Amino acid sequence: MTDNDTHHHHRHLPPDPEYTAEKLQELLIQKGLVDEKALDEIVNIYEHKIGPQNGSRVVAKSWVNEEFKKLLFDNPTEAIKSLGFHGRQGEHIIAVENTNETHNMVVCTLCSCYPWPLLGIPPNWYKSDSYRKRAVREPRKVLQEFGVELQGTQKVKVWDSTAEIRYLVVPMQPEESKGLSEDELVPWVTRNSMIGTGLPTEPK
Amino acid sequence: MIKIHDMGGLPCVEALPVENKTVFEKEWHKIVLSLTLAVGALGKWNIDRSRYFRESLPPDDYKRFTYYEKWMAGLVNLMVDSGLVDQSELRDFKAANKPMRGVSVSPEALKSMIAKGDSSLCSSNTSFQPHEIGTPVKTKSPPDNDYLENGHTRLPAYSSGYQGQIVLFHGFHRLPDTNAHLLGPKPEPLYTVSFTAKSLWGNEAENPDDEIHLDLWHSYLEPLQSV
Repeated sequence: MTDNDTHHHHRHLPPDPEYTAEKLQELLIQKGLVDEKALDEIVNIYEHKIGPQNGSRVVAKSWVNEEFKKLLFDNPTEAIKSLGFHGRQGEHIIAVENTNETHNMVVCTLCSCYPWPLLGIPPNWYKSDSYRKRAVREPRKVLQEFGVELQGTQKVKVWDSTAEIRYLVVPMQPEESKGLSEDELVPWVTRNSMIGTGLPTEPK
Repeated sequence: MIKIHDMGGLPCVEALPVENKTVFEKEWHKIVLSLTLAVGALGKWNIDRSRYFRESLPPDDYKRFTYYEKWMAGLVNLMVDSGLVDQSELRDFKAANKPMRGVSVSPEALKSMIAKGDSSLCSSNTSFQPHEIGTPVKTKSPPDNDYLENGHTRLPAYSSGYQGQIVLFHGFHRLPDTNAHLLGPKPEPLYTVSFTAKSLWGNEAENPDDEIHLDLWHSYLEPLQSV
């Protein structure tokens, strides 16, 4: 078949999304297309198992383990696999390192691509039209809105990830956290610091 | 024609929304995410096609729908398109036929599909000689699909017709422009191309030396003579 390129796809659904989602779920279970237990398992995975704690572990390890850090930049997908965080919506990962010269920041302007196995489901602002429009055009203003202060000499590199490759920002380790163990460092690595819209901070 | 989802760089004075506090803001978001993955696991379409369907919702719907409403509408259109669900079944949400047996994907199988992912990487082919890192390139303009008028593509309008430089090569990947329309994966070299803010935004750039990086396929790019 070919796609009709001139018309837009139709509306098939009632306006209330909550009602529609529930009815649709009933219909698809009734038809035998989905298994209710599988639906619960998917929710369980993204609510409890996959989330920013995975990415934080990767970053914290790279701060204390030179060998792992080297692997993370030379062969990021392998490095991440070695910690068991490979998977859907993050098949190919590139780690980008913040330095005194460069601050990295990630967006997906066409949809909302995001490294799911490392950071979980993207937050609402990442999926918002305003972030998608503004991040490539005025990244510095966006960073300001997030309270990120750049060092005078830092260049901003925006990574507009268009799906196949997903980006993980590796923030600089704060001076005051030097000497801590990997486990102690994990909570310093905030989700936003791995998108580039935040910096690592001391856990409260 | 610039499509509704292709919004990078458009003028916008809206502040960012306030952060949501939980992974799923509403219970029905869980339903939509899990249905999308579980029905997608039946293998009736690919990830490019599901993106294409979300992006070709009626523009008014795309604009006013929240994220998961787009997902749900895209999923329903895909199911109708591929014959999994009949339009009449969506009117009263009653199955027209007896339940199908042995079709749904089990929790264990889904779990392993999530852990495994679906790589777009393919083996190299001889149709393309990949450009070298450092090659100056110009992006295709207008950012049209070469195979189908008004079809799916991953070249954002804001980056179309500009000069950049190849900074990374990722091997050969499925081409969304054909894969989304069931015209085959037609693997092409995929690169990361770097553009300076000045080259994209001219004097309006916040800082001329800032960079924007995009992942672009071989056929989106025309190599330029090195200067």
